[in-house]
Amino acid sequence: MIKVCNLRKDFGDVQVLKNIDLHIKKGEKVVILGPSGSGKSTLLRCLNCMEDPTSGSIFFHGVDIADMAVDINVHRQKMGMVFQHFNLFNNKTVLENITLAPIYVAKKKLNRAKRLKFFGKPYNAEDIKPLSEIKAEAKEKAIELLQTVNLTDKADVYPAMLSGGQKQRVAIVRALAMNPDVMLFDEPTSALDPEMVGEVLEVMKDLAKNGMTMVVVTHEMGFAREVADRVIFIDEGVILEEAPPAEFFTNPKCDRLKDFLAKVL
Amino acid sequence: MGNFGRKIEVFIEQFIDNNGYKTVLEGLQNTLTIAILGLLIGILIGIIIAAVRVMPKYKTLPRVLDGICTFYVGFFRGTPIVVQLLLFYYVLLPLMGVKMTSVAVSIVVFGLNSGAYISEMMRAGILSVDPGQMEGGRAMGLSFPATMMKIIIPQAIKNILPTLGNEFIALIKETSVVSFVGATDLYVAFNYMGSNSYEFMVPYLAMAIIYIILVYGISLLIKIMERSLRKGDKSM
Repeated sequence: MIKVCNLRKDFGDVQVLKNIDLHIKKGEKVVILGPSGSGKSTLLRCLNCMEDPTSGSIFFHGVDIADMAVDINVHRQKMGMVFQHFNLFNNKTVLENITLAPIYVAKKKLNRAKRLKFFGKPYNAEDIKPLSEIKAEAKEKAIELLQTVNLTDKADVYPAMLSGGQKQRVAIVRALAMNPDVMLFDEPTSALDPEMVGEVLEVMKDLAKNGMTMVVVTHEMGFAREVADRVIFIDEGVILEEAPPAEFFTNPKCDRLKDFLAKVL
Repeated sequence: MGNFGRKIEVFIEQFIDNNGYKTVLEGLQNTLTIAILGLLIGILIGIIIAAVRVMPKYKTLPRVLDGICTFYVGFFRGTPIVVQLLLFYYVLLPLMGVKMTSVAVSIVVFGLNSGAYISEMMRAGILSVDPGQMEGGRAMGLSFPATMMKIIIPQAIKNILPTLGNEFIALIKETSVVSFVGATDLYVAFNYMGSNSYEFMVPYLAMAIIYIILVYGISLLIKIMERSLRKGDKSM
């Protein structure tokens, strides 16, 4: 589903990622581990071009999204992203946070279909529906998703009034509202109080069970061991080891990983 | 002070019997029209310029736009508003062969002028919004302009509302120079009453009081707006 070829990313003179090759298959759960400053977050952020790669390609459904000529927004709509600091929209309620992007996309499709219709070109008749229907559909879906994370009672509340764990659950739901093909998690529990980590991991595990393709940067070793199909260890911008969790944790090959595991486990 | 009562009598005579109030009302209306419409145009221009200036600049188009905006802001902040009014009214319009009333010209010039100032305030406001907000929007697949308009600008405006209020107050007071191009504002109205009776003391005093009342009313309005915009914050 996602294929990274020869990815390189520089920040100024610093080479953060060096010739990364990575292939993520549909339904696969990949956990990326590494010490801080190793480039693991940068790698994740390159997957949906939040950071533009310096060179190399990133193929998503066969399209090179690292190409500047590609309309990245269309592809990002199918790649959900969850951030360490939630990044919920502070000026919108929980419900609006979730429905904003689906309504935006549906409206765009509507306008496009109307334009095509006007010029007598073929268009997708399903896209033409009244705005009220678009909003109602988005709201219905949002409520449904909020139910899965037990936050229906917070629908009309602003993010500032939620706890960290609640914010992160809303952020996950917000990404899911777009029906993404893959979910990218950038240290989703690192900014949370310890007692709230569990509720977020629970949601992520459910997601994994339902077959979502996931790429997760995290420090939660337990999560990696339990959920991952493959664990990747990255340091100084290079993938040093790549293995199923059982082998990764019990039989690490490179010294740097042995050292790392000795410190964190 | 003995003849102060006499001066007030003259003023009242001018104000009511000589239809001075009509001129004052017209002046008040023009002052407010120029200030309010000028502010609205200014906010619009300010938002556009600020958005262009914070745009990522990998491509050529944003760079060109940025250059234009820099020149624009430089021009309107670098010359006095009176000079801009005179340039517009006596140079630009005749050259283009366009006819506009002096009030319309004032609105346009005040709008263009405050747009330059508001753009810098707006830029500060945009920079004060957590960069994660932009990331959140872009990661959802919203375009840069869409994220700007739906997420960043509303929060930026909330942050700069007090400064924006200042700009509005400054605009109200600055409108007293529109008489340079022949528009009737508060100053012209009271000056007219003064010249009719050769008594300037009370008219000018009344003018100052009206300005103070206007500005006080606006400050109140801004406070109310700020409160309603802060409803997304924690302190509720």
